[in-house]
Amino acid sequence: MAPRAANPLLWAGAWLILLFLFVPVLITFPVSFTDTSYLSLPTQGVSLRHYQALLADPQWLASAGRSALVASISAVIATLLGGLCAFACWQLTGGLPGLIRGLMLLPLIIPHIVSALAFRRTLVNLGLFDTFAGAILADVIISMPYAFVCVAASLTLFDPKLLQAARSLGASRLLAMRRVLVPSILPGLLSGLLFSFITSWDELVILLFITSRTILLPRKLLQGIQDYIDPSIAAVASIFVILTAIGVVVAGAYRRRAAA
Amino acid sequence: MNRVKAEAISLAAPAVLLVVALFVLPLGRIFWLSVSEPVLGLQNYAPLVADYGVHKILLTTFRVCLLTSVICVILGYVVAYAIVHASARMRDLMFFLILVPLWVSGLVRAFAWLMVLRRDGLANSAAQWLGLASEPLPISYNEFAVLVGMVHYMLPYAILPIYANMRDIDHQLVRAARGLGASPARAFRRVFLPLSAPGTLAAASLVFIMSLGFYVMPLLLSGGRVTMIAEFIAVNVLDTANWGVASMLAVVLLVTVLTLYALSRRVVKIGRVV
Repeated sequence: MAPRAANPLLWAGAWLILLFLFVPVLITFPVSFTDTSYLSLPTQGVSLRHYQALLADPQWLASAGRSALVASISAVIATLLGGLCAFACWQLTGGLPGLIRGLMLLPLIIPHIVSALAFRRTLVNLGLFDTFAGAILADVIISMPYAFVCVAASLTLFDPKLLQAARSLGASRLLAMRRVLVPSILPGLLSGLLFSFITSWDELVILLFITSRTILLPRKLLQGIQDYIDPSIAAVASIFVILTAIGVVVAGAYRRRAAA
Repeated sequence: MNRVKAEAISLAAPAVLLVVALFVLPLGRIFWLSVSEPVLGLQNYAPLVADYGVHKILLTTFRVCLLTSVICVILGYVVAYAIVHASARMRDLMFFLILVPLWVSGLVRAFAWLMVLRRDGLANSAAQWLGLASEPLPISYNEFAVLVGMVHYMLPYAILPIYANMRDIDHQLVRAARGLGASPARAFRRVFLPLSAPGTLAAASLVFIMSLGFYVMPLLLSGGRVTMIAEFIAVNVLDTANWGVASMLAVVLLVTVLTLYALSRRVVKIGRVV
């Protein structure tokens, strides 16, 4: 435990910087409750009409639904394939695991604008430009590193002797994996799913290059921000912030429970 | 080859094949395009030497990324230092204030800053209401706005590696230096600062490397007035379908990022940050 530093200037500075991080994110809330029909702070009073408009707008709901679908499917595929790959690396010895690991993490390091060009060319050739399948494939590639890392991290905590023990007690390989391995690495699998889902749900740059008329949520959001008129966009942004804050609190509580 | 090894390789195969087929080979094609579109040769690379416009974009990219990483590391160092010295409850609150912005969509953050920085935005309204400014400050749709947005986006990525490093420092060492007669400033400078250097360097290179490919934040916050390399690539593909120049710049960006990444891994190990 570090001793408490006494310098008040340091504390003031640190809190100011933290407020710089946090406060701008909150600004979407008052604007989303505006009673005007353009983006501004409330003038006469607060109103929920922009949230109502959002719920009544089939375009917002449809694009959110499409995004949720694409993100769910690609998160499941990414976690499955990335998880299997992490398991394989955990079993292998020598130089191969390092090589596979480097390959799996590559999409994380390459700037998305570069990946976007590569995906665009390839998906056009495959006839998958502007399709759900194309968006899912691209999302699987960019979210697999997260699934891989999450599962690999929980595997380092797993004792291989447990598998041998289950086998020697008569369990088949598959049964041993299902009843011993999977429950032990469940936290890794779940966080892999979550990270993959969020990565895919948030991805805009690649989406701009591989879709045109299939409007997923990030593109719809970008259009709304570029128009900069309709306060509905502030309502959407506020919902995003609320969901994120809930997620952070839940994840923190989960981690604390797991540590206790 | 034994059975276990063969089985492990077959389990890794789907993921590996997918990444190779849909990522590595397509990236290779971007390399190939840059020397073959529209004809075989290095003509696409000529603007790198001779074109003033391209120079300006590369220079802007470098300047914005350098400033972003310097500012992020300084601010991040202060915050990380405060976190390791805070009580457990205060630390939870601080992490909440860091993690919510980190996880909120970048689009939402760009939008929030637009509302703050615009001519009729909150910053200008506040400045005028307080009597600090009589006309709108030049804080929107320029490089300043881009910098604010990028620092805001990247700051958590600076805080977390520095914090991870500082957490592992044995704080008895600072106490020992004090006990041996060093002033607080000297104990910090001679003991704590060198021990926290690896995390700080890791943060600096991580922020710089990640910033190089930024597209949406500069686009929205500068309204297209500050062009960085990613936006120029996008314009060349989406608007003018000039794949030769676009793929050349993509290769430049790719090679730069991979080189810097390899270099920074030699100096310090960039730990996992999320």
